[in-house]
Amino acid sequence: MTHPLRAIAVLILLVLACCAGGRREQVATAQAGLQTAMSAAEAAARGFEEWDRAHQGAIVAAATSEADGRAKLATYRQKREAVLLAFEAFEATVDAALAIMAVTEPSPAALAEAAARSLRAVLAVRNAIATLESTP
Amino acid sequence: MMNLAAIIELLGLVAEVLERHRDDPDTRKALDIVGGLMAAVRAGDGAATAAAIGQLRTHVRANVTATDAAIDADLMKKFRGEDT
Repeated sequence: MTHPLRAIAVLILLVLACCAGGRREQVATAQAGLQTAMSAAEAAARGFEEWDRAHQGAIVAAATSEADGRAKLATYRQKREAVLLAFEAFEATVDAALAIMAVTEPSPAALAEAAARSLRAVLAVRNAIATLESTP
Repeated sequence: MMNLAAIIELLGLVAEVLERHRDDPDTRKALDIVGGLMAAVRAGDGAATAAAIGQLRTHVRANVTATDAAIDADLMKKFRGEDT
């Protein structure tokens, strides 16, 4: 069975692979790419929120007292903070990229920097979630 | 429900795609992608652009904060036996 997340990633690959062509085609492809990227980001965010809700629910279910539950929730939420900060950094890169796009003639260097920042932000989210997963 | 491994896989694949295009011998490709996005935003109407911006902002913290409040209520209900 094809995992829905893998399907999204494959779609991204296909969209980006089609970026060659005239400017009109590039615009159309970029619009599709933007929509796909947003879907991927949304899937990751909503998936994490769902996991977070279930994980905290499990902590409550296993708690032996209210104090025990509070302590374990506090510990988990402290670790989770790194993931939230990574998501916020990703959102900031989106804002920055949009600001660059709003300029009439953005410089290639500015566009390249926006692309690099997006890459780092995606990697940071991935690493933060991986770290949380290893010691939830 | 998605598990963390699946989310990591997704983000890893997205990062892989970005990395691949960044290092592509055709060094203009990554810039073309961003440039194309810029053109798309310019070509779109205000409402569509605003909707896109809204979608791009994931607002994870606000959502988990709401979850935290619900979880805290569940914890109290479990041990105090009543809604608070």
